[in-house]
Amino acid sequence: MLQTLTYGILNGLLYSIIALGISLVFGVMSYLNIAHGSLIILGSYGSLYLFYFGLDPFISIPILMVSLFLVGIILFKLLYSRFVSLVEGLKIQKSLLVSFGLMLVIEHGATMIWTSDEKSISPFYSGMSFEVFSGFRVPLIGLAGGFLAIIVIIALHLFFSRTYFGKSVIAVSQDPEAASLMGVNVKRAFLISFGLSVCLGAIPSVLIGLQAFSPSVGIEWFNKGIIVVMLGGLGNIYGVFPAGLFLGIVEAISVFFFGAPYREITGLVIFVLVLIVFPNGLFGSIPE
Amino acid sequence: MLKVEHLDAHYEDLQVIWDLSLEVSQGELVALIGSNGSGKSTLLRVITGLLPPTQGRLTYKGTLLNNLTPHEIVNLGISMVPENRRVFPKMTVLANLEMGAFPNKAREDKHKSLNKVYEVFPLLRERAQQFAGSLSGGEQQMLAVGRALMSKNEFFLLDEMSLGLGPIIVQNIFEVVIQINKEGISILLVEQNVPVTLRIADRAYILESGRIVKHDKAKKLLNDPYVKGAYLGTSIG
Repeated sequence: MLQTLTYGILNGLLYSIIALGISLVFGVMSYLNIAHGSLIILGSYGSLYLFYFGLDPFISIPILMVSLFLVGIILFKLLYSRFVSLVEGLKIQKSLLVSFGLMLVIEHGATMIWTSDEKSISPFYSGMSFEVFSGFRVPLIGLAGGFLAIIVIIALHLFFSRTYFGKSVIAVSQDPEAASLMGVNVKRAFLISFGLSVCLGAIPSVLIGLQAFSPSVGIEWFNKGIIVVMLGGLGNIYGVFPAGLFLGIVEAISVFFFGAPYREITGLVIFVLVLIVFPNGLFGSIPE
Repeated sequence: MLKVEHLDAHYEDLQVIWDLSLEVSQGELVALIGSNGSGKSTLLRVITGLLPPTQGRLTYKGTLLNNLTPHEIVNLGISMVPENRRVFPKMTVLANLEMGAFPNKAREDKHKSLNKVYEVFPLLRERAQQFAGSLSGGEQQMLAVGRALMSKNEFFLLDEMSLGLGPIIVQNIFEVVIQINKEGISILLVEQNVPVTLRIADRAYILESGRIVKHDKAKKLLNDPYVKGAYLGTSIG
């Protein structure tokens, strides 16, 4: 059971960090970026290539972060910047449509270049684990990934609560127009937040890359992410962390009792049940 | 200081402001009076860059504002206290005030400005760690004014400050307006509370259906038969 919980927590941290990227964009600019998962998978391919050049996947994270940040900036400028001044409902609609298209382009582009075969990065330590006490093992990669996820979440929290720019992003998320009247460049705050969201994908890129990935799994990871975002409460960036752990643990427990094939179903059933009881998510705020 | 010349503004195809000219000089407190839907708030949206004008010139200290974005205009020295306060509800009072000091020149003097704001509104010091959304309407209005003061800007646009507030708080807020005007900040005050506004303003413009219909010294307008009848609720007798 302890073993199951550990896997659940480590998986949950991975979900959290995917959801964090989606939630950041949704919370700040009311965009729903369906292509988030596909961008992560794109990062996995990047990491795979760097691995072929002899770079350890964990060392490649900073390189991926910078490149994904730039990809985010370019995508925002090309595709997403034209809806910035629309009302919230329209923003969701348009961004949904554009990012769905982007997801298809990435998925099929990746299939053309790398085929639809499942790939995986396998350094010498993949599959290694260490025994804490007899019968209880912690996978090395999962542990490292969990640590990274926690570090990133703390770093992001410090960014939003301590730096002037971070605080201005929070202000923009609450009232973009009022923030612009304070002298905040709202368009730039959107741009940087979007870049940051894609950049956050670097860690899941590597962690998924170390498991297994193919062009079509992007949307599956996005689904996990969006479920966690809704469980945490839409637009509540801080709800994502406990919600991710919750989903991870629920899934792990279901594997323990019902077996792996029912993992997804149990997760979704719990998700629906939670939303019936708490329509605003587990940690959502009451609508004003 | 602020000069508006022959301005037109539209929402999509609907023209809301027609050939409007207006001027505020250094140190003045100028009032803009009009009923609901007369275009007052639209004019402020144009001045702050939220709505680009379709015709005319808009200048501040000689700089053309027509094509500037809101944050650029704030950096030039114009601050707005928006209608309905628009404080950031899920940020603390302190964080709201810090947001007010966002322009680079204001950031350096942040602590000094903060103490000054606390002097003007001692209540905000007590509430510093509270969420702005939990404040009462009057307290939020104080916060909105305090937030504008943090910018160290020399020109304030004040939009409907008395809306929805009790008479005692309205009086307090107007006293603060007079005080900051005396300290050298030029003000364009948009109000529906006409009697009080005309008593404290130097000059006033009267806006009806997007056009300036009258413009004079505020004291004179207070005794103007037309203004008395339409805005002060006393009979023309």
